[in-house]
Amino acid sequence: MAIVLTVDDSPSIRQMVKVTLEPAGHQVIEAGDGVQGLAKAQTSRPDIVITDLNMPVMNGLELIRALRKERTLTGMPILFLTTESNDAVKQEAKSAGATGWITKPFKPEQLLTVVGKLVRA
Amino acid sequence: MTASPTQPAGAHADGAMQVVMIGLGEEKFALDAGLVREIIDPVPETKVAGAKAYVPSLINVRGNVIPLADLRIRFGMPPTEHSVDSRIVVIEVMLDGEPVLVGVTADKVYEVTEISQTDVQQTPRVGMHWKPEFIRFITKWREEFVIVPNMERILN
Amino acid sequence: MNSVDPVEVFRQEASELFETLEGALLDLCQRPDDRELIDAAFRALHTIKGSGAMFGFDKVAAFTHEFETAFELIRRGEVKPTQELISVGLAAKDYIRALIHAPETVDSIIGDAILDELKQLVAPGIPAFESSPDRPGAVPSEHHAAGWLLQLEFDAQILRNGSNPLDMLEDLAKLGPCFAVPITTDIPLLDALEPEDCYLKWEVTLSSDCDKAAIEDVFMFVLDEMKLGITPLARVELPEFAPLLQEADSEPPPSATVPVSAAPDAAAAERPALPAEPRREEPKRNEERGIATVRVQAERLDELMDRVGELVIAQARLSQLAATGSDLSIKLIAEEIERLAASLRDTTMGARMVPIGSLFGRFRRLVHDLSRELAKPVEFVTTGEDTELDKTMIECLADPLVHLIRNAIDHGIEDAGRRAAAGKPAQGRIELSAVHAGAQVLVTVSDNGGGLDTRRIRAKAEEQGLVAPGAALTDHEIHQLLFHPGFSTAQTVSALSGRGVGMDVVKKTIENMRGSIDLITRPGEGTTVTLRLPLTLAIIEGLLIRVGAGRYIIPLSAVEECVELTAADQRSRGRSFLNVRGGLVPFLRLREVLQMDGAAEEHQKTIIISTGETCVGLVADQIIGNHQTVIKSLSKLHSDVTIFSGATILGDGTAALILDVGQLVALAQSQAEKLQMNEAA
Repeated sequence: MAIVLTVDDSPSIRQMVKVTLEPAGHQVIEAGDGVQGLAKAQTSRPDIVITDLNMPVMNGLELIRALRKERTLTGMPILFLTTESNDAVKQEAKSAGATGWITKPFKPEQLLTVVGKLVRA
Repeated sequence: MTASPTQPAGAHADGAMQVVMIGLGEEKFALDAGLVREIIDPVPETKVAGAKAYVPSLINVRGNVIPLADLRIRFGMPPTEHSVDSRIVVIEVMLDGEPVLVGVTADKVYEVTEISQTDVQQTPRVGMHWKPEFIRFITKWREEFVIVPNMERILN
Repeated sequence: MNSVDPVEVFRQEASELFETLEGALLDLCQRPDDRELIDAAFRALHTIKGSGAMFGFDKVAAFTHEFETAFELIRRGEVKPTQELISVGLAAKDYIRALIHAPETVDSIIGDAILDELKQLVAPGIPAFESSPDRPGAVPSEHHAAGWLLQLEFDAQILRNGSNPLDMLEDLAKLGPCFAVPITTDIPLLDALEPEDCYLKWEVTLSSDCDKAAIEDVFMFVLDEMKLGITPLARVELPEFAPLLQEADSEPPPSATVPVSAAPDAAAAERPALPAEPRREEPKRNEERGIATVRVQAERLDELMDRVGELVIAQARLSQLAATGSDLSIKLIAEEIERLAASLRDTTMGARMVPIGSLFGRFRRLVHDLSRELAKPVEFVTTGEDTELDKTMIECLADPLVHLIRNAIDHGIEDAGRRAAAGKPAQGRIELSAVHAGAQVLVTVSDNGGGLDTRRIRAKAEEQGLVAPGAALTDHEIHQLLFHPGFSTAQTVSALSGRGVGMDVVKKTIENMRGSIDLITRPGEGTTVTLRLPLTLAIIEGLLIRVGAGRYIIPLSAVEECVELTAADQRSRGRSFLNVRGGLVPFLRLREVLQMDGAAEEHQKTIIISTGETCVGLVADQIIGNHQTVIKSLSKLHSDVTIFSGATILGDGTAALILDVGQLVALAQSQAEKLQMNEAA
C-alpha cells in the first residue's frame, strides 16, 4: 500500500484518482492547489504525488520545483497530468523535477499501470 | 357504528388490538398503541392565541415544540383540573401525508392493554351529539364502554 | 465519500466552472485587458476539456478543445476579447453546459455554427486546429525479435527525480525472462561519491518476442535522461560489454548479477534514513492549513446547527438554575458555558455562511441577455459581493432576485426614446447590492428608470377589482397592490416578465425567510426594492417580553426602541396612535391581540417595531431582556395562526412564541385605519 497525494483543482479528477487507486489498496490524500499540495506532502510524506499542471494559487510546475527542494522527500516520484500533447510542456515539467506524466484523458487502468511503475509494494 | 373500514395499525388478525387506555373526565379512551410515542408527566403549557380550540397550546418535549390537543373539546366534555394522575400521551399521526407529533392530555393513564374488536358495541351508550367521524368504534373493556377515537379525523 | 461517482462530481464541478467562466467572460466586457480574467476563463475551459474527456464526454472535450484553441489566441494577446467574441463565448458555454447536462437536447449543428462564428471572429491569427500527435513512446516497431540486448545508461541525477532504475528492470522482467548485469566501472571512490547520483549501468538480455515499443514504454518517462541501446538478439553486434556478458553467461558471478525478480526495495534504500519515524506527523504549517477548504454535505451543517440549537437551550436552563442558586462556582461554570455556547453558535453559523457574490454572478448573464433582447443598453453594477448569508437563504433568494431584476429592465428602465426625451443617458443602470445592517442583510435592486406609474397601477387594480374605483388610497398603498396575487401591469406581455406570477411570490418567499420588502420609487428617477433578511434561519437575537402570564419573543432586528406608555396613553381606549417624540405611531395592545384575560398592569411598556418605513408600537406588561432564540417552526396543527412566526424554548424549559412582526404591523395599520374611519364617521 502506498500513500498517494493527488493535487488537482478539479474535484472530479481527484475523485477519479481516489476511486481508481483506493480499491488497489492505496491510501489517497487530496489537495486542491499547489500550496495545499506542498503542505500535505510535507506533513503526510506520500509515496507518490500526482499533480495537475494548470492550477490556481501555485501551479504544478512551481509545486514540482518546491517538492524537489524538500530534502525529506528526495527520490519521491512525481507524476503530472497534462492535456498537452506537445513535448515542450513535458520537457519543462521534467526539468522541474517530475518523474513522469499521464496524458489526459486517461483510463483507470492507465493510471494504475503508471502508478505501479513508480511505486513498489 | 361498525369497525372502521381501514384495519387499525395495532390490530391483530383475530381482531385484538394493542391500546393505551386513558381516562378523560367520565370517559375512557383507547389510543391505538401503534401511534403512541411516549407518556410524560404534565409540563408547562404555552397558550397559542388564535389557535383552534382543540389544540390550544404548545409544549416542549425534549427540545421539540409540539402542539397539545385536548380531546374533551372535540367530545363536548367540561374541562378538568390537573391532578397527580394527569399525563400527556405523545402520539404521532399522519396529517396530509406527513407524520406530526401531538401531545394528548389525559386525566389518567390506566395501562397498555388489548381490546377486542369482537366486543364492538353497535350503539353508543350516550352522547349522540358526538360526531361519528371522530369515533372509530366503541368497545367494552372490564365491563365499561371505551371509545376508540379516530385521531386523524379529530386533529384535521 | 469513496463511493461517490467521479462523473457526478464532475457534473457538479462543471456547473461551478461554468459560473466561473461566465463571470470571467462578462467581466471581460468591462476589463478586456485583465490577464487574471483571461487566465481564469482559460483554466475553467481547460479543466472542462480535460475532465470532460476523462469521464466520457467526448463531444464536450472535442468542442471545448476548439473553443480553447480560439481562446488561446486571446490569452496570447493576439486577439482582443470584443463584445461579439464574448457573446459567442457565452453561447459556447451554454452549448457545452447542455452537452453535459442534457445531451439529448443538443443539436450539433448549433455547436458547429458557434465554432464557425468563433473562427470568423478570430480568423486572422488562427493556425489550423492541429490534431494531436501523441505519446513519445508510440513509435511503431520494426519487427519482432527472439530477444533483445539492452544497454542502459542513465543520467547521474535520475534518482533525484524519483525514477528508480531497479523498478524499470523489474518491469522489463515482466516482458520476459531477463538477465541483467550491472556495470560498476563508473562508481567513484567513496569521498567523491554523491549518494544521490546513479553510477550504475546495466546490460540486459531480454528473452521476449515483444516489440521495441514495449521496451521503450518501460523507460517512457526517462528516455531523454538515459542512453538506451536496443539491439535485436538475432543480429547482435558485439558491443564493448561483450566479454563481460560472455563471462556472465558461462558462470554468473553472484556478486555482480542482479536477480531482477527479487529486486531489493531500492526506493527505500535511496531515501534518507527516516523509516522509523511515524509517517503522519503533527501538522506544522498552520498558515497553510488555514486556507484549506473542506467540502461538507449541507445536511451535516444543518445537523450541526440543530445540535448547537439544543446546546443553547440547555445552556439557558443551566444559566437559569445557576442564577437562582447560591453556588458561586456553578455560576462561574454556567457563565463559561454560556460564553462557549455563544461562540460555538457564531462559528457554526459562520460555517453556513456563503458570500452572496456567487449568486450575483448569475444575474450578470441575465442582464446581458435581457438588455440585448429588449434593446435597452444597461450598465449592471454589483456591490457587496462579499456579504455573507446563510447558504439556505442564498438558494431561496435566487428566484426573487431574478424576478426583481427582470422587472427593473423590462418595466423600470425606459426605452431609448423615452430616456432621450427625459434627458437621461441612453444607457440605463441597474444596481444590485448587499450590505450588512446589524442582524440583517439588505439586498437592494435599484434602477434609474421611470419609477412606478402610480396611475397605471391604480387603473389596473380597479380593472381587476382589487380596489373600489375612487377609493382613497395613498401612493404607498397603491404600490403595495403590486404584491397582490395576480397583479400585473405589463401592457404587452413580454416573454420575459410573463404575466401575473411575480411580486406576490417574491413577497411570500421573502416573508417565509422572515424577511421583508421595501419599495421606494421616485417618478422619473427610478425604483429601489430592498429585501431585508435575517442573517440566519436558525437562531436569532430576540427581545423577551411578558404579557400577562405569557412570555413572547420579538425578533430584535425589528425592534427600534422601547418607551414607557404614559398614563394618558394608558387610559385612552379609542385612540389609535401613540405620540412618540412628535411622530404618530399606530399601536397594538398585545393583551388584546393575544387574548389575555384580566386588566392591564401598571407601567406598561411599548416596544416600537418597524418593517422598513412603517413603525408600530406593541404594548406589553414587561420587557424581560435579550434572549438567544433558537427558532422552532410551528406544527401543522397551528398553521392557521398567523401572528406567530415560530416558537422557541426558554431557559426554564417552557415553549415561548415568536411574534410575527410583518403580520403585527399589518394588523396595527388596518386597526388604526378602522379607528380613523370610525372617528371620521
